Amino acid sequence: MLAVLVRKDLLIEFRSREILISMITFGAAITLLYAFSFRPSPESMQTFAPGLMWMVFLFVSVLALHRSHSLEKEFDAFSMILSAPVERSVLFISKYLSGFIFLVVAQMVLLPLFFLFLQLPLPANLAQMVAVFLLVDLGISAAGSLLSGIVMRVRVNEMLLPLMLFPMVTPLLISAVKSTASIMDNQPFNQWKLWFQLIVSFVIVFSLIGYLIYDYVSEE
Amino acid sequence: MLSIQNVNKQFGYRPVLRDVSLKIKDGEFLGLVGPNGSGKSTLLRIVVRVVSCDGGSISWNGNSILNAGADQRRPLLYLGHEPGFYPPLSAAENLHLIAKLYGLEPSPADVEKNLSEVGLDPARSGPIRQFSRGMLQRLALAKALTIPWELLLLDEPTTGLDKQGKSMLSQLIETWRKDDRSLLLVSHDEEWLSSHCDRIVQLSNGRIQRSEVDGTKSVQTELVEEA
Amino acid sequence: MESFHSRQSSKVTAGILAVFWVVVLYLVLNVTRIDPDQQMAQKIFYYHVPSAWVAGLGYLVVMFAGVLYLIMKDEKWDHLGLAAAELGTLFCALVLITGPIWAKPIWGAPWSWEPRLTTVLIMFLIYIGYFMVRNFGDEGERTRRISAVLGIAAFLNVPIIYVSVKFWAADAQLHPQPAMSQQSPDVFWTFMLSLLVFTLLFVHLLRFRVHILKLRSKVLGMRYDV
Repeated sequence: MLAVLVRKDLLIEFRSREILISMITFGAAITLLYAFSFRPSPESMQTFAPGLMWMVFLFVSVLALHRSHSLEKEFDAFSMILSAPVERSVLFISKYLSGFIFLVVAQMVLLPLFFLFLQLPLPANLAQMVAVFLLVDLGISAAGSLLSGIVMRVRVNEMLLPLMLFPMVTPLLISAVKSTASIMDNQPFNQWKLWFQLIVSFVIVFSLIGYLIYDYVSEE
Repeated sequence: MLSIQNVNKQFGYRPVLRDVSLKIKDGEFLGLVGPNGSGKSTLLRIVVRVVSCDGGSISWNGNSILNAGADQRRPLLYLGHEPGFYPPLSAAENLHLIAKLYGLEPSPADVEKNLSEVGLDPARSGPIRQFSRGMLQRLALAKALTIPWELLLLDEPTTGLDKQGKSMLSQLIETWRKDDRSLLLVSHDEEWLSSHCDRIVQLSNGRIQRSEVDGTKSVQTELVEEA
Repeated sequence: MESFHSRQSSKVTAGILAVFWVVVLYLVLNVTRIDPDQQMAQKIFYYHVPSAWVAGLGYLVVMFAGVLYLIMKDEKWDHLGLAAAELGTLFCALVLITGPIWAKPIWGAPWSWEPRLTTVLIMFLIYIGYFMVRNFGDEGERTRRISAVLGIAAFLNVPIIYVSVKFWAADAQLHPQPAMSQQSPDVFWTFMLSLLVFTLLFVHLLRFRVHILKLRSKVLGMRYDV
């Protein structure tokens, strides 16, 4: 059932391309703005790059989360799914996974652009970078899917989602920025192990909350 | 048999349903009428757990639906006021998806057959976002042909349908009658309703009005009995 | 219905609070020793720390009320959760106000990214979102449910927020880390009394607010009684 639901989200995206295109264009636009605003020195850029990078991804994922949930409401497909014999925890995981996939795909386009435009040196340890990115993306998608599920039926939800999500993911953002900076700085894993552990705990806590509690959130 | 007992629901502090009890026997076609805002749609949505309820119990063949896993909803199919589809997908894709959600694996030929049965062109592959209200309604009815339900909950199925669509719907309902399946029909078109239902119950102000009409094809005229 | 303030227990609590509030104020200003480095500025500690304690207590109550609401779906748990959220946020605001008042003369800057202060700030922001959800959601059962979930998620996030902020700005560890057992008895007992008075104040206000919310829902429900 999980595969059916995730494939559904991907098929919808494959047909409409709404989510990825808006994620990528918006992300590229901000990256360009960064490049124009911080032109002076690539060296100072390197100090701020991890923070700027994760802010782009956070903004971009809000777009995706909002769009993917408003598609559920447009013809009230969400009621159809809720009335179908589908466990709500599975529904949560499917939203979580498809959000994760969208974010990863958008990053695969945006990250090279980011390094290119801001003239950053590539990190030596790409494997670590990929691992951290995948984990943080899981964290953003877990908290994001839970919160967009929560606000999707509230008025002005497009404004409430970032308003709730940003403070909620502060610890994740801090840890993501710190570990990205450490990797780009070629520091050994031991130096930034703590941040890695924090990311993992965030992912676990929000995945569990979502899995256990989505049933209460989804019904009208 | 669907048994609804003392279901209550408030929106904010406004009670929408007050101690609603209702039974639908196997093979029974029950019509639900009532003015706008009387809680008809809400009752349907509570039965399939789209809307939570504040108290009461609902069971299908003795198994509770409210406090149970998703599998308990499998015999029920809800066709709501809104079509319940994904606008970027084609009609066939939507139908196929819904079938899969109910654990079925329909062949493309089955899907095509169901589409043409409700008067939609199976060759049409564009997104259903461009469909008219009536076409969406027809597509919704195709769901009822795809999924082997035991109780169908239909909310205002005639909305947007043209004359042909309406008569097609009437025909469908009559074929279902032969299969001994149950139907819960909500409409404000009482005349149309009474031509199809065994029994009609009126909901007003969130309460079941007991002294109500029996349908012309009424098999039994006694009203809701409490368990 | 009996009014809240005419209840025996409310009268007693209010009386104790009135007396001991003044007692604490007197002890803080006239009895406790003056810190040689910080002079009078240190006195705010008797209000700053208990405010932070009550804010944390408030949010803890929100979480438990949320769990109980989800299990029992009884409106009274929602009242408790909402009341505790309001009080928690009120005391968060007090922490955020008293912190900079103290920090300005001592650190020379009103704000520092000190982990506890920052955690309180983040919780405050999360709870602003919480109240927006409360306001924009209708007064229905779903709003209560999602508020309960938010309260649970917010509190479970606290340790992660705290640790991340702590190591994020490791240079901002200027916050005094007083070990209470090493303080002189006058400081220790005054602090403890203040803590007690704040906790009692919290309980009193919480009961008052829950009482009002109960009345409110009764009145709102009356319109529809037929």
